[in-house]
Amino acid sequence: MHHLALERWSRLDSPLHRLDARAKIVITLGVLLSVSFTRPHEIALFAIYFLLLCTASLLARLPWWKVLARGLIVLPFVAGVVILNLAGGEPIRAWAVLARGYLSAVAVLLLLATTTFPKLLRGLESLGVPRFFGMILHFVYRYLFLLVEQAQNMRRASRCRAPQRRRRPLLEAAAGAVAVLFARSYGRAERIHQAMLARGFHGHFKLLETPSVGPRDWVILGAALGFLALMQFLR
Amino acid sequence: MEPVIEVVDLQFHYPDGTVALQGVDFSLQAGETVALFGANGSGKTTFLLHLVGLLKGRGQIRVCGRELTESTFSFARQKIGVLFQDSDDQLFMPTVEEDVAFGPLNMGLGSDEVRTRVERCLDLVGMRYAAGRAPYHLSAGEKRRVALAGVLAMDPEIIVLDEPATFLDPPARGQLVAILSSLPQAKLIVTHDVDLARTLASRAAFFEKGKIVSTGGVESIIDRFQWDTNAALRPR
Repeated sequence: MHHLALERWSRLDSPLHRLDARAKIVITLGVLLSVSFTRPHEIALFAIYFLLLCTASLLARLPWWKVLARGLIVLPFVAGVVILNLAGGEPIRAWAVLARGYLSAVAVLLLLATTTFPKLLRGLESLGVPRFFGMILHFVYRYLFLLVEQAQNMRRASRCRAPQRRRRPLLEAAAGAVAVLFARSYGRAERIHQAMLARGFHGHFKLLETPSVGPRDWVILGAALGFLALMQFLR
Repeated sequence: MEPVIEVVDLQFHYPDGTVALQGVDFSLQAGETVALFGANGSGKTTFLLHLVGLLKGRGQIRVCGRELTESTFSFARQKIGVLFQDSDDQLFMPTVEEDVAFGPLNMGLGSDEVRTRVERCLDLVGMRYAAGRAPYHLSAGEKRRVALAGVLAMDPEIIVLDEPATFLDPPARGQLVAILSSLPQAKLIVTHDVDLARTLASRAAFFEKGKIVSTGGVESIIDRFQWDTNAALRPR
């Protein structure tokens, strides 16, 4: 699964990995805004952002080609808009949608690949994202594997009892399986909550390391935001 | 000596009206290990959840001399460590180290103390090598041992275990039994595994329809209720 590699990468060590999560979140937001404000004909600017993201991947000691390849995951989501623009005779706009989508995806991937999930959540929380939202993200991330495994087991079991593979019965079985998965997930959520309370949980995740923004973080944050602002200014 | 757990006339029914506990009396002495037997649905797990305030029924529960009320839930959860039946329910943090640290951090301990406890408890269960790994990459036996380390890191006086040998292969079960038998804490073990009970427990109690209908030596309870795998094969 894609996020297995992301998790492995997020636990590497590099100057970008050591940068405070809040600084990385703010820089990523800056990149997303800058990319989305870039006009379709500013191809050089798109190229600069692309090079910037490649450099960041190298600095993070990540396999940069894999990061760039994973950015393509965004293609199915922007494909509709791209096709509509192409059909409407506006290939430049189609290109811009594609470039913005791709660069944004790579920027977010870089954030996820250089920040462990608990640090990312703690960073989001200290930047004002509601704690409840962060907790939901945490549990979705943690239990996605189990949910997928359960779904695969149920699919296998239904295949064993439906050797002819007629579409309609299989679809009906799939609908039932979704309902069962929901019920099981609900039951598991209850049990996890009980297990958390049993170990003294009071509604706030505590970390072994307390994040702090050091002078180095401020310098990098300032430099990155300054560079993005300069790019906008020079357009 | 005052028991570490004392339960008097505990009654509970679920919101749908199902009666789960109907007058349970029970006590556990310091350092003692008691096995809880009984059919599925007889109320054993419901009973365990009451001991740390995760379910609230009528009756009296005392943990280490203090009555269990909303204001003493934190105290009880520190004194009683619960090992749940499905380790995946218990291992919710992204890495083994963070999961074992979860309880001590909630107790308000400092980072250095928490790290010391995490290392000590992972050593105790032989899982130090997996400290940086994600729990879902572990085998069932490893998950169970990490979950136990998470419980031990809170330094409890009592450990409550719900079907600890479920899903474990024989070597993993053997490792778990060896670790459990080396622990000095009082233990309350819900189990269908009579061999595990024979090895670890000095006393057993039998649950039936939400009541403890008998307590005594492990062998005497197994004999009295024919609570082994050959029971169904015996002529009636």
